[in-house]
Amino acid sequence: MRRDIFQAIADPTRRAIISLLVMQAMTPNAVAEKFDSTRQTVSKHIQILQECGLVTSEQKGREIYYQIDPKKLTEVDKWLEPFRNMWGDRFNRLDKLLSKNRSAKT
Amino acid sequence: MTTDKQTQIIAEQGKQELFIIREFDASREEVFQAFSTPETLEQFFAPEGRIMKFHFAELISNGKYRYSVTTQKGKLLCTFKGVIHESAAPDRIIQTSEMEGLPFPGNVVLEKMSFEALPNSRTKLIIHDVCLNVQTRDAMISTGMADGLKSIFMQLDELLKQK
Repeated sequence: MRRDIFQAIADPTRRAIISLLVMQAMTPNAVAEKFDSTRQTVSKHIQILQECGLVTSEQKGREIYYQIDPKKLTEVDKWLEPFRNMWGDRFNRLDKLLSKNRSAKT
Repeated sequence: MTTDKQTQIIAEQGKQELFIIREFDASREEVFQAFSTPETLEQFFAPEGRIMKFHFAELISNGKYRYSVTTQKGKLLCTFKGVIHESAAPDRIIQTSEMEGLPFPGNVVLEKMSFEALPNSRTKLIIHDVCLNVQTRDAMISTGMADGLKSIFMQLDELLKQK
């Protein structure tokens, strides 16, 4: 299945990985060292980030380096949009209730 | 879902708090009343196509509430509970809120809703949410993306299980 970028950032560990990789490209070991979770768990998270295209890997010599695709990160900038829409929908329904109440009174 | 320009969300990166701001074409007494009346909340608070039902709702100072959101067919999506620290009509409601059944329990949110009177009997509502940590704040915002509040966590659990 195609992974959605919003699924990728819904998880706190993955957000932490993103914030690490924003600073610099890192090897799998270097990333794993920053977390209490097992290497296996961290690499699963990285895999999900890769599948949604947020993280890319590059072979440099014997090591693989993970890095953030900055183009994808701008999609994350829009992450507030659905939350705003959720509240917007809520408030629009309230608008209707309020105007209904008002017309009922008059 | 439509893009909503009237609703303002302020959530600075790396902070534990967020603001939700919206103006209404009604007096603050009316808007306050809407947020203090369980039957009214049930009519507008749940996401589109979802059903919200209070298990109990004493929306007064020192009161408490608990509600669930389900699909039309009655499948449980999420349950929230909290206590009302203060309900001061028509000025403010201060309450706590916690989603039940999360993998990281204990992350209660403190919420202050301020109802400010504007000219022409309009009202500005400011919801100020303060979380215990940045992760919870971000998770709250992220769940707004999913259809239903809990589904994103359930999907993720499923995805991680499959691996």
